[in-house]
Amino acid sequence: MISEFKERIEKRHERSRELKKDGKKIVACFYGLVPKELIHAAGIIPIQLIEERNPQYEEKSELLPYLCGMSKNLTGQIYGKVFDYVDGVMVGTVCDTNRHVFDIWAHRKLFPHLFLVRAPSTASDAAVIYYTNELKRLAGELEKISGKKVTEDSLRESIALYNENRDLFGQFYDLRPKTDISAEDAVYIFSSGLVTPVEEHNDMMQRFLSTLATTSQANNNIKLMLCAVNLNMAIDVIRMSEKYGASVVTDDLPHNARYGSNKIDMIGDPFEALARGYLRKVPAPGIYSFEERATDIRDRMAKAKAKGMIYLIQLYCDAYAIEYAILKERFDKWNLTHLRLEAEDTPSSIEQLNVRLQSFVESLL
Amino acid sequence: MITCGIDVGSLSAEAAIFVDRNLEAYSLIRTGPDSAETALSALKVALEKTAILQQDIEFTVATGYGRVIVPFADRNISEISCHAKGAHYFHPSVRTILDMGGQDCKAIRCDENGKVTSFIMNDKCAAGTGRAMEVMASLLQIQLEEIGVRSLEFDGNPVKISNTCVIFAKSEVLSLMREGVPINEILAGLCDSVAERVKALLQRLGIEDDFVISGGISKNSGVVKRLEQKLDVCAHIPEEPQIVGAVGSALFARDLLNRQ
Repeated sequence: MISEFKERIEKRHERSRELKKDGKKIVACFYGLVPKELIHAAGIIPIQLIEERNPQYEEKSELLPYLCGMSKNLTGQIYGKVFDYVDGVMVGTVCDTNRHVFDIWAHRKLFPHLFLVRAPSTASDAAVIYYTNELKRLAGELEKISGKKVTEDSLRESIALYNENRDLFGQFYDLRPKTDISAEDAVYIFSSGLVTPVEEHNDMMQRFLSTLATTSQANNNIKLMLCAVNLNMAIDVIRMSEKYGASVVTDDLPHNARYGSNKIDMIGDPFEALARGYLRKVPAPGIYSFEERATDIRDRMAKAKAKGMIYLIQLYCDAYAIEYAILKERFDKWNLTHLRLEAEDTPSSIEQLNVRLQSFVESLL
Repeated sequence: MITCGIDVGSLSAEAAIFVDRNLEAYSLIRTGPDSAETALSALKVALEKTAILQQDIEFTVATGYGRVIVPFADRNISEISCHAKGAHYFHPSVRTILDMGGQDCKAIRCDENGKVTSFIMNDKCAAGTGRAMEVMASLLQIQLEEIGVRSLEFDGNPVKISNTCVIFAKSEVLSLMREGVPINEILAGLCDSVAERVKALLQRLGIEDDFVISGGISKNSGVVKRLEQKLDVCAHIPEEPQIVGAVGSALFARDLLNRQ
């Protein structure tokens, strides 16, 4: 079953092209704060723009070296026509770079439709009202692509489907410590959800969970939590940790553990519920309250009995780098053992992390 | 109980042979192009100083950048853990260690047992490392060992030299030489820039006494003195600071053997 998840992520472009051939509309999201429910409610399939390790994309982007690696990588892929099947892209404002690559993509007319999701950087009541209106505006834009109006009912149905997906992820996270599923496999299970229609992914998750066997064999490895945004780098760090006798038992990948735990409310105005949910329930760097974000990480570690945490920053990722300075204060206050790693998404840069990771694991033994 | 520690670094390799808790012999050689061969040579040099044969060694731990390719090692352990353990052997009251090696600097905090509690590393650039000092010694045509002593002969505020990139620093030194700045002042500037760089690293980590410096650059009195002044601390330097990692790994070997 894991191979099915893995195949979904590996063959994501082929699969999306098939869906396109079948007459489906596809809108891509950059990055986690774009409400996929809204796209789905407009009868469109949302997929995530995912970084792919290949230095030619960074070069192709023609962006300066010190800018966010993910923005450079995605821009390079777009110039390389990797996402030739998408009908539109929605960019959620998280950092300066992703906000401004939007301008470049718009200027070069790289997509038939390109929308900026103007997410507020606070979660106050006023911000929720503002974001509710922003989501209604975007719903109108999405209707122009699909010709399908986003009604309150259709949005509620989409929220219910994504809540089901979150619930299934939640079940998986609760079960995972009692199973043989590796941290790397968990990344494939999660990332397949970023590029698979939610109905299909729910079905896959249900089938997977129904066959998931628990094991009584104790894993004596040092338990770690991983906070990261880049999937390739996350897999490298997971593999390295295992090499040194540790296991990543929980994580904070965008939409993974944190996506799985917080459902969107089903009562009241669904637009407002969606706005409130994304602003207050997705503890994402760059938008979420630092206090709650730190608490969320601490609680996840406690739940998974993680002894240490790796906070992996992709070089020049403002959102992670800036929040770390504040999170660290909390981590230190709580004596939360952690290792901050900073690297580019290149094999040579990752290799330099070996000594740090090995030392960190040894210090926890 | 005979154990061995091998530290294969970027510039030098060391072997330490322990009999129970006592350091029986050690070696310090230049790292060659083949790390596995270098490790074997370091071991042979150390063994020559004892009546111990290679087959008498019951457990070997390798550390350093070449740790994964030491053919006769039973385990490898990171140099950060080994330097903490080794520094604790020489100075049991140590709580902060600065390892200034051939290609990186590490600031390490440890507990009363010599176990690492936190650390930070600087390995993105050769500035502030042994390699940088070698480059400058070659450029100024002086012996590596002279740098520290001669830098202290200069009295006053030395010229400022870049501490973020060894290539830029090399260009700056070339310009200073052309301008006729005395070599001792340039050396003082170099040592000051290295001290400034590692000061920042240590301040990020926080220093708790006792403070030990290991690695090749700790033999450079110009850097050490300036660092002590900048941080207002007294640094303890083991008699042979380059074997601290190898000693730590030999001690780990003993612990692991005990657990078997």
